Amino acid sequence: MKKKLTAFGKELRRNSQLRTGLILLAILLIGAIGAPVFATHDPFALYDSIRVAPGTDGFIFGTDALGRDIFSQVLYGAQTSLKIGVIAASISAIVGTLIGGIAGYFGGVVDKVIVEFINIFVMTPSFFLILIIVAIYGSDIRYVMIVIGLTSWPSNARLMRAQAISLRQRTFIKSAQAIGVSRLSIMFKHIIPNGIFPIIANTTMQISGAILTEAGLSFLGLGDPNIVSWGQMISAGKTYLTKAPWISAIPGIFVVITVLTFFLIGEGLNRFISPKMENNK
Amino acid sequence: MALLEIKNLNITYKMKDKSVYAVQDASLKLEPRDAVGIVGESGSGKSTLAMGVLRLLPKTAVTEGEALFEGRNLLTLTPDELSQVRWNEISVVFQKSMNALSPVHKIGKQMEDVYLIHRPKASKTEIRERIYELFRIVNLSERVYELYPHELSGGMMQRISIALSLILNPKLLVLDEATTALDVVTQSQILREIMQLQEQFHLTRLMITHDVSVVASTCNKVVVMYAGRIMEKGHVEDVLVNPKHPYTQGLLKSFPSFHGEKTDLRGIPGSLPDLSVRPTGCVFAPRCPYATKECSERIPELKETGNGEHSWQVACHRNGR
Amino acid sequence: MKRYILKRVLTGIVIVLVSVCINFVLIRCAPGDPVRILAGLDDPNEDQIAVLTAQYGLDKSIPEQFVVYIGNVLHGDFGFSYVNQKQVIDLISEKVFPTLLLSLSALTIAVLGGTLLGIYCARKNGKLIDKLMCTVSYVFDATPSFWLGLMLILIFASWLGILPTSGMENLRGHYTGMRRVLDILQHLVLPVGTLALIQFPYYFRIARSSVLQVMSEDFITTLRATGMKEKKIFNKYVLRNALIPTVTILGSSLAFLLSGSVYIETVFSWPGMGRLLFDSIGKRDYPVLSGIYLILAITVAVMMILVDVVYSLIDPRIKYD
Repeated sequence: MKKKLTAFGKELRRNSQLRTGLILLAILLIGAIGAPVFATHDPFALYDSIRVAPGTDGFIFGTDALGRDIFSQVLYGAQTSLKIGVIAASISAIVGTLIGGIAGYFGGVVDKVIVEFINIFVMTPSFFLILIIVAIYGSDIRYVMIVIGLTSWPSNARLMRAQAISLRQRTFIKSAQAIGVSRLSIMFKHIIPNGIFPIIANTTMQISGAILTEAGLSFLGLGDPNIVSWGQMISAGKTYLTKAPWISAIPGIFVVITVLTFFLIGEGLNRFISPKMENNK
Repeated sequence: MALLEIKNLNITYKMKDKSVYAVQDASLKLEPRDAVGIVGESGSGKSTLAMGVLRLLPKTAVTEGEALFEGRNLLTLTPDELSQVRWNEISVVFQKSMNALSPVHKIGKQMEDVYLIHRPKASKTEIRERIYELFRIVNLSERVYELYPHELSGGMMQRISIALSLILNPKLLVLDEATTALDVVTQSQILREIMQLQEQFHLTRLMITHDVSVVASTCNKVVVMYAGRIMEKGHVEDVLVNPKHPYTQGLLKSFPSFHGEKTDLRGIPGSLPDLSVRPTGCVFAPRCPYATKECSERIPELKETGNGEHSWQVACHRNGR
Repeated sequence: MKRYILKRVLTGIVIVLVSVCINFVLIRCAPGDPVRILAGLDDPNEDQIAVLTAQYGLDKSIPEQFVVYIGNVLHGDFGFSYVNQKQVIDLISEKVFPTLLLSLSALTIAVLGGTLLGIYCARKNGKLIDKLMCTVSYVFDATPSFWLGLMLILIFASWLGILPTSGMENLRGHYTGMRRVLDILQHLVLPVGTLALIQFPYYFRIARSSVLQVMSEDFITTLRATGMKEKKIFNKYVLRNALIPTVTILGSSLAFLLSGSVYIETVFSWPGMGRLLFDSIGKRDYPVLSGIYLILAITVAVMMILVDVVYSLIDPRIKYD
């Protein structure tokens, strides 16, 4: 464990993408978790200062058309974005790992059926599926997370399948089989733990995707009305774009930074897994 | 005059944080119609040496020294001059023949393109005749012209590579591990064909391989390389029969005897040294069973050994003692 | 070849069937009375309930309802929008042209621009321009399209005042002929620009990494060794190999493109299917939502088949089974 940590520390010094990403993530996490502490105002309260520019009357990022403090909203919005991103991507990772692991390790007919299923699933326009489901079943944040998670697992399944196929040829798996360890326990004890790393990198990238999708749904009016979301904030500022551009501009900048953070971490992890890519350049 | 004379060649890969000394102070000579085998483990610099002479290495590799082909230094030719020498005078058969041609262009069309580089005025029928002729020489059917690389087997693709290398009647043929990936039967067939072709077209041949038996059965001269340096070089019947360098001796012991006698097979203990560190003494000293204090302090030079007809060169402090 | 295409057509049919099933299940399992969902009204009157019950066989069992539903879809009957008092299929077909105009223009620009830039940056690999473009592509990849659209409106329409804010044409102008075309073009700039900026990173990265990958292939070394000019190697051999991945992703990128146009049409009040979708969400006009979903699923399936056929024509390695 200690050896792994020092290897990771060494990687951090070399891998500037991973380093920058993790620093940004730390800042975002502090902002989101510490929102109640850092918030200068109640994010839902309607103040008398309507559409004031950033920096006036103690409103750091100004206020929106209803007089809500944008700075405090941004902090609470970070909670929403991170929560949705992490939970939706985790659902996708779990489903993808299980399905891909079963396909790759069990092989045969099971594998063929699952591969065809994945191919078909990838070809259905999932964004519109999400839209319809949320439109019909309601925009509770829990639904949004589950639906995004359940529509984005195929890439994880493909990665895990490839891992499982290469792992099942290895001696330690074969000897475990020979001893008579059950297939399911080999899958959970050996295949998944040994093949999980690419899925972790991909899941980090998927957090970005989930955050963008949630922002989009909120922008289209399909967000959970009971929570603060950056997408809703951008949507709310749309009408006042000319007179008060900061209402839309500021939350958008935070979406970009947050999504970039996870891109950086994901790319950094990918480089960590396959350093050969770098040598080819 | 020697066809190719390599003098004091150094090849260094310059990386961001370190330099890798892949080939150091290598000199060798190819007389016309010679068949020279460079033999060594992977990482010994044998391929790098050949690719460096042909200027086919990535930009990170710095090549110093001289490589005189018919008296002209290949390393200082202008791109246009070099382009003229390539394939016209020197052609190559590469290691992974399956990937030696573009997968999405027909084999015949690619060979046409190569012919046209150096014979831009050739007519369609002339080119086609030439390619069919080559197919006959390497025992392939004319049908192959219209096929794609993935439709052929490894052995057939190797024949294509050989055919392609002969297309312009070069003087020097470089074979870089050309038969390594093939099964034993195909390998010996192709080696036999290569030797016939050499006779037929008066070729000079440079074979790069890790397989001493290939050198023993197809070459007249041998160069033994280890960790970027030449350990021993001379005629096959001298070096491989009466090896003087401990490394050559070890290398021979790790292969079955050519005459079918039963000897004990064993590898050389230890592994290749780190090529980014310049050694102060003999590169083989850390693995050498006879290493003395001198071996790790002074780099041995190549010195004559044997006498008269049977003399060759070896880089070992034990030589002559 | 025929078998391959047949297999893809079958997959396409399955995709459409699956989408139809999903649609059926989603509406039948929705909370509340399916009649309300199908009507898209909170309080449908007796007549409407009677018509819908008969049309969808709501008084019959679920499997029977499914058969009726499939029959309706096969006849091109995607339902009736009570909110708009129109057949869903008519409502959608009015909006197809603006959406195609917007998304295909953007796709063309994104594919051409992204691919050309990707090829250029691959050649300048590691240089400043390459690093810069890679960063830029990541930033645009991380940018929500609707927000980028708003910011571009802010800059080019509000501050600089050189482009119109929204809509497809100036309805008060009553322009005709060439004047109208120019007016529409002017309205196209911002939405197409936004959509193209959001999409180009995808094609940029694929082209760039694919060129880099092909350049490191063994056959490139072969071609260099033959003396072929770098320019010809690149234009004829590298590009042909490197552009295959771009073609293969065109089919699957359609869904991505259309989802982008939902946001863009919403932001720019563009009178297309995306805008219709947005309005239908607001009005809870479920028949329209499910109709659009089905049409998209069919389009995506058809595109996928077309692209696969093209792919099998340009890549000889494709296996037929």
